Amino acid sequence: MKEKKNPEKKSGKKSTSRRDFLKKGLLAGAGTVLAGGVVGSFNAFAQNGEKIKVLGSDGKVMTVDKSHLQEIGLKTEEEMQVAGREGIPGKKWVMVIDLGKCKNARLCMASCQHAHELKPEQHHINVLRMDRGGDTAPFFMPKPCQHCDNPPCTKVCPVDATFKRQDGIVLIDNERCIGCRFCIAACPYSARIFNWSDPKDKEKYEDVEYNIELNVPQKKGTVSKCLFSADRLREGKLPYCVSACPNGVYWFGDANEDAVTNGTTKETVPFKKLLKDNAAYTLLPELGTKPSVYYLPEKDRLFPFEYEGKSDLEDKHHS
Amino acid sequence: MSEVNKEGTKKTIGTIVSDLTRPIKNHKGFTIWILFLLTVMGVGMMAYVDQLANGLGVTAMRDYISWGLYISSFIFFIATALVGMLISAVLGLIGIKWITPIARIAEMIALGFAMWAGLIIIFDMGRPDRALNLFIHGRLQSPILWDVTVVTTYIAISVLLYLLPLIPDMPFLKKAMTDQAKWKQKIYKILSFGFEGRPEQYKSVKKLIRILAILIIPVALAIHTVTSWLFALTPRVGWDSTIFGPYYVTGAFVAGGAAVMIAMFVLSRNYNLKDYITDFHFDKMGKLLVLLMLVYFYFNINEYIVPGYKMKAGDDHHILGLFTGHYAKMFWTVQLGGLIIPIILLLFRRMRKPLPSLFIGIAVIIGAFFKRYIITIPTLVHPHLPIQNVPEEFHSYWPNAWEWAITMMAIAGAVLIITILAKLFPIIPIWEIAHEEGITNEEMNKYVEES
Amino acid sequence: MTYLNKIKIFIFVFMFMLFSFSINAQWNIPADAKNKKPPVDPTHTLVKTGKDLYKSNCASCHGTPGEGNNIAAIGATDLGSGDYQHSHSSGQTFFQVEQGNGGMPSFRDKFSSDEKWCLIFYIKSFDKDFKITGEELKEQKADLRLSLIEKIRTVKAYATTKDKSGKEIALEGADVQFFIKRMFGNMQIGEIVTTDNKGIASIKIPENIPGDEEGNLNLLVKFKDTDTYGKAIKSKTIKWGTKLEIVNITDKREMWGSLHRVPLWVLFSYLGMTIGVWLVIGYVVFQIIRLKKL
Repeated sequence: MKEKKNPEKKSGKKSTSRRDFLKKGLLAGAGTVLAGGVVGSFNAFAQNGEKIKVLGSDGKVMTVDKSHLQEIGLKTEEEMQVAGREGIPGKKWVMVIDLGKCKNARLCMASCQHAHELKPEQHHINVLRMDRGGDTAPFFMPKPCQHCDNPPCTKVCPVDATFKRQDGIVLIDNERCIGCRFCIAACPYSARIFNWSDPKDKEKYEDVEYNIELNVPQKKGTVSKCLFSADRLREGKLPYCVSACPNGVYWFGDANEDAVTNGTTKETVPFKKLLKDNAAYTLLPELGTKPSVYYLPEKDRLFPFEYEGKSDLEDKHHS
Repeated sequence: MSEVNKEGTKKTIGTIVSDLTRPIKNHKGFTIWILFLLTVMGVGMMAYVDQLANGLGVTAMRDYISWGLYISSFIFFIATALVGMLISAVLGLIGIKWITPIARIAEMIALGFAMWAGLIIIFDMGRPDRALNLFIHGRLQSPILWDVTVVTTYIAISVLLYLLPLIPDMPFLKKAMTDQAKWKQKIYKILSFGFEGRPEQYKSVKKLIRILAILIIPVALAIHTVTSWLFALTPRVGWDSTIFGPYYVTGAFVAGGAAVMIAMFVLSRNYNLKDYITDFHFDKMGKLLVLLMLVYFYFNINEYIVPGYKMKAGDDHHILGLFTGHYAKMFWTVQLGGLIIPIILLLFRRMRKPLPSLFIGIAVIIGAFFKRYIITIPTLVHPHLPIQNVPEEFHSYWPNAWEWAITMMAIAGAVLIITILAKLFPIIPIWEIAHEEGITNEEMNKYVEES
Repeated sequence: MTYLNKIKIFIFVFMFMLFSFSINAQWNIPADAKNKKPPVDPTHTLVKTGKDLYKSNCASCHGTPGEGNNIAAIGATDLGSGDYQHSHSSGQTFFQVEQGNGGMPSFRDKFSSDEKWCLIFYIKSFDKDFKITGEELKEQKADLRLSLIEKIRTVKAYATTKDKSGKEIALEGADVQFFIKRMFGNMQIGEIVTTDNKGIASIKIPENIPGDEEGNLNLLVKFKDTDTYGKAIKSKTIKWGTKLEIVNITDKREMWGSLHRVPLWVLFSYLGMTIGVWLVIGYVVFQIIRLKKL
């Protein structure tokens, strides 16, 4: 499943393992001499197993003994790859975004960038100023990856680096991505970004075990995208953006359970009824992408449209 | 000079061999030309090494306009390479005689550009170190995999289609090149594959050429159709078109035709082969190019009038951007200077003379290069949803020095391949010219056997 | 370098936009708003109503008053703090609820005037000097028992409490809520039911509620007024949900699937064409090598 690591990483690992080997050898030797038995050397081995860097559930990098991973409830990179590609059986994640409640607070963007170690100009979720033209009123629209059921991006990926799992999430494996950017070109929602140069805090995350469900560490020359916070869902928690919103914009849940939970009020309501009662729609339905993200129209707005002190849309004809 | 075969002044096999092999032996300015190409490639290589070290961020491409000059050059290279199929296969199969002296030139162009097209894709990759993933994890549903397959196949067939007509020339080369370096003679010996001019051998070579000429037609159509599908299979404004396949193929013939015209002029003048590539050939090639350009023009009308008439949401931004907006200057320069004006000019006999042909060919090929740019970039500048909350440089694109240097390396590399082939082997098939001059196989064999 | 600079400028702009909300939140409260007085005196019942409103509408930003768990980054203040209490009269708070400002939405249409005053009573109740009249609400620990009536898909909740002598008696007039446990929270089923004179609140479980693979639903029942009746939550697994059929969408052969799920027509077209062409190429190469023997 997992492909080979890039050369520099490999060589880095090799040298540490060689050092470990020497250390083990010395300790083993010392153990044999001091304890005069096999038992001593065995203990020395056990305490000096391969050290690896992993991400804790709080997102902090820690160095742990590989053999201790399971005790602290963490997985190796290989295990994360297998589980990450599989997805969570029986789930179909959906998001509902209530446009009437968004006031461009951007806490969703900030928490997302923080969680996925993104640079300020990199957005997995982006709050757009939308304008339907004519005399219609402008509004704010948070735009994550739509996690389409007919995804144009995974269709074109030549190496299965971006793929759709059984719970509906479209993930990206940046240990496999070759950086051809075909998926970026194919995505009609501009939901994908690329690591054009070294990622943020490159040194800090060097050699850290890659978590495919968080896409951290980010890697130069690979694509990154919104993951519906697959790592949080595995823990039964709402996505980063959903829980960060102060205005009750996001509902998130499992369509198989027909329930979505508001990230702000924590209220849980029937999913289909929410869609029906509010005339929900999906983005660019004419493209047939079948998104998993639904939008509730910007009706009964809680906030006026204000941007940089202006209440009107300045760049009415965007770019 | 303007006649096809100068009746009465019938060439002997001796003159043909010495005429066509002379440029291989001595050639003024060859070293300087090679050094020039290597310098251009060296600069590009430096840019590429920097790109490898620092990532694609050294280019002007960013998240929204994430494909740039590399991809548009890739289509240009594939397009130019397609001419090998048109000239040596299609025209050859329907028995058109005047292509004999230029078929090999077309095949050389096909080889040089197809090979560098493959490399350009690697230059565009964010992780070229993982290129092998295409074979380890390749997804058959991805057009990129189809492209990789079909480009490899096309290169293989083009090599054979270049090599096969060369085999009967080898005995002449072995004989004429005894004063040349040992390694060259060794190459000629190996590439002769034991060909000694026996009738069965001629028959076999002709049969194999015919097989390949038929085989290359679907493969060549596939290579450029698949390349067009890299765009047409995405739901993006400006790419989401059903005529992209034929639109690209006809455009490719225009680019390749122009490339052949330029190569004809440069090689015939430089190699002093005016007796073989005559005004007649330029006239024919000019007429062929007009025909190809008219077909391409027809597809252009379809490609732009249809969305331009409806002005659907999304299409409107795209079309207006091309017609009157940010890309208008380039669009109209390319369409007028690279297509419409050349069509009109080439209708006149005087414009189909060698020198005017050269300039028209240059205009058409530059137009063809930037036409690919026009096809690739404006679509990316107008995504379905607005580009917001990103730095100013994410909103627009113009290739920077790195991209130009690396693209120039690719062009120089393709020209280098053509140059080296033209230096190692005759650019005009000796045996086919001899056959056209009415020289029999026996006469040729006798000439080879004479010491 | 210029690229770095641009990024820096961008970070600055971004941070500015983030914090501009706190700048925006400069309240411009007209002087006469201060004098606006509630139409009634605050009672414990009204404060309680206000508390419920606060929990579901305000707490997500302002947190629990006095505990400092408000989201300061977006300009939401802790309404229980001494600072706020001293600088804002009831009328001023009323104005703020009505108008909204910056990050805070306007609740003019969302709440009735009475509701707004209840909310303000609750907020003001964190001021030591604030006088609340009327009877204090008494705690009355209560308990719930559940029973199921399979035939009519009905859940009955018996609410009981203890009288002064400690004897268990039926609790009348208590609001009971029924929930189904979901992935990220509990989804209320039907309306809130008030217990009758036998202490019974019953609800019919609608059909078509998706359960797990066996059709099991995890039912939760609790009192709405947890302040009075305590936080007793009773749960029960009921089998009245629809069975979940786990369909793995990645098992199908799709254009978007992995290599192992390539549509057969793609596989065979690709292999057929590629093998066909390369066989011919192989034949030609073979014939070239054989040329010597001819």
